[in-house]
Amino acid sequence: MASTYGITIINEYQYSIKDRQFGAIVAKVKADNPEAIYASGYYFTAGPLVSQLCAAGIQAPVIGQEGYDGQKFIKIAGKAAEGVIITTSLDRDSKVKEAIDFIREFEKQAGFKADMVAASAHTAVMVAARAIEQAGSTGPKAIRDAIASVELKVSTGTIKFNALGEVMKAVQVQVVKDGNWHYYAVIDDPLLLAPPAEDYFFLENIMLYIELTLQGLINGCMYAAIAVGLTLVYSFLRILHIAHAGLFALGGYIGLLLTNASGSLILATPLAAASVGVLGMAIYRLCYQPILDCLPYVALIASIGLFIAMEEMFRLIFGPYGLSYTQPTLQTTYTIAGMTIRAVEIVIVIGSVLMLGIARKTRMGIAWRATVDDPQMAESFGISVLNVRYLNFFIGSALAGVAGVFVSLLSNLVEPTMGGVPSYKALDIIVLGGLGNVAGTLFASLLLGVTEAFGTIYIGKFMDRDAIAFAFMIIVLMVRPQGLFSRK
Amino acid sequence: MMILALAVCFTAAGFGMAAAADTIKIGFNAPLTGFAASDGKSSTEGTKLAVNQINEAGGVLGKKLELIIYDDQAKPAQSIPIANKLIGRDKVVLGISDSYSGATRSAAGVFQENKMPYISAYAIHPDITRAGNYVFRTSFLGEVQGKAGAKLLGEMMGKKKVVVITL
Repeated sequence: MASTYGITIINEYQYSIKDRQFGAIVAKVKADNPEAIYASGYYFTAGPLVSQLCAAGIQAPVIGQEGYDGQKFIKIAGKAAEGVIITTSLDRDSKVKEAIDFIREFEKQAGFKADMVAASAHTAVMVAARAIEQAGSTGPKAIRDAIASVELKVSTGTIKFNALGEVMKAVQVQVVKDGNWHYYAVIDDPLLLAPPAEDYFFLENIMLYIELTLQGLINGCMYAAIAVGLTLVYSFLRILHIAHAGLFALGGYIGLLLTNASGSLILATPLAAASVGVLGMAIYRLCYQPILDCLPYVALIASIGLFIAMEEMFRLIFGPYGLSYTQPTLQTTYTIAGMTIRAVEIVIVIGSVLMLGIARKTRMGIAWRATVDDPQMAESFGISVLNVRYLNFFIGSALAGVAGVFVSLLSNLVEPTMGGVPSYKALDIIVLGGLGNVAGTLFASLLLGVTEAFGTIYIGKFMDRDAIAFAFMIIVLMVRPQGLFSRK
Repeated sequence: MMILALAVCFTAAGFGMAAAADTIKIGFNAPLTGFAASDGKSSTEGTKLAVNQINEAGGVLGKKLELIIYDDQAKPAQSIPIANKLIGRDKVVLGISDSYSGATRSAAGVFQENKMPYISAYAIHPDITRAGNYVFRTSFLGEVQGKAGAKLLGEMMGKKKVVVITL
């Protein structure tokens, strides 16, 4: 679309809905020296972004979307809001009676200025009322059909829908002038603005499927890095090591803090892995070893307690709002055969495969697996079970630490609660993999990653992404109670 | 997780709690609390204004409109039980989302499943209307805004070298 109008996109950046600090992006945009900046977002992200862009001395105009619309944005961005232009639904300087009336009546009733959200809500009710009137009844089918054929002039324009239920109306372009939104232009080009009318078709979307699979595998690699440590601990000691997820979060914190301090991720990652690995050994020595002879649930309770303590400790030490990388790290995107992939995602896949491969291949790995398979036999071959247990905790925890660094890179955010979801999802995975089975755990991780990726798109309307993981587990356990892969 | 949805029922001024048969109920999910509460406030006021205007003008099919609004905190986990409650218990004739994409997309599936009309006021995610033929959207898709933005930048403003920052 951009090329139609001779636009070159020099660079593209992404941020998350939680982001309020855009230092890194702003610095890079300044270097890019663009003629204009196109930024989507909501007033609570766009406000800080625009004011930070302005503070950095960037003069290029900012073009936004209707998420900016409202006085809140102007309040947050302050002087920097002046001259910001957005595409939205409500024209404040409209000459249309419906819009003028709405703006006046709204301010009278609500006590604050009308915005896009208010006008859109007003519009939706007007459309609904007209449709019910036209349907002549309150039967859902009759109302649906009436909405589909509605044509109604309201505050946001003349509303009518296409076959997919998408509105077809003109786009209002508004600019901030003297602390208020005003008319800049209107774009009424039915051909350009035609929303998609057809539903997805399989062949047209084969690329989407490939991309979803890829995203699923990336997530699966991360799950594997977390779950393998957990499954090893379980197969050795029959302990469900919940605190493993705390080590994962700790890896994220150490990796991020060291990267921010040193500027080098390559230095920070092994250090994070090593320190988390050592802490993993310490947890075994101090927490699990003294209670190995107790009933299994004693260790489980200890582990849960430890995990909660770790989460609270992160909150106390690092603060509740989470930390981000000061420099964008591995955020370059590549377009391969029409798919966009981030450098961090490539690193995750290669890193996980390498780590898991090394863990399997090396002599230590062999000894390690030997003791998992048969501790007594391994001991008779001169392998010290105790040493291998330490090693097992070290490697398992180090893997979790690296996974923590990966996740922190993916989201550019480390929060005290980042271990929460992995703490139970990793359990899900090791159960699926047939408790204690390393190969099974790897396979279950990848399978769950892909299932979630597709599930989020196709059944995400009914089911949360995390619920999908458990629904999947329930289904598998109903069919194969021993897990997907079991020794027996 | 327990649902802490706060039910706020508005009835038209001077009309009081009329018997169910005398009103036509429309259900809403809006973020009255949480990070999007400011938008929830705006959308609720817009909604109330529309209902007041319609009722003052004589209502619909000779009956007054009655609003039933639940707080979804802009969260999908809240909007699904809200959608079920609006349809099953409150017996609304139609649902409107005054909320964000995540919450709207989840609730849209429930409305479609029950073959009940659902209108999204300002959520932008493309999958919302793909829930099925009972779901409509009165605002622009992100994609449509992007196209308008491209025309605005390239043709109307003559800006060719652009940096894109996306949420």
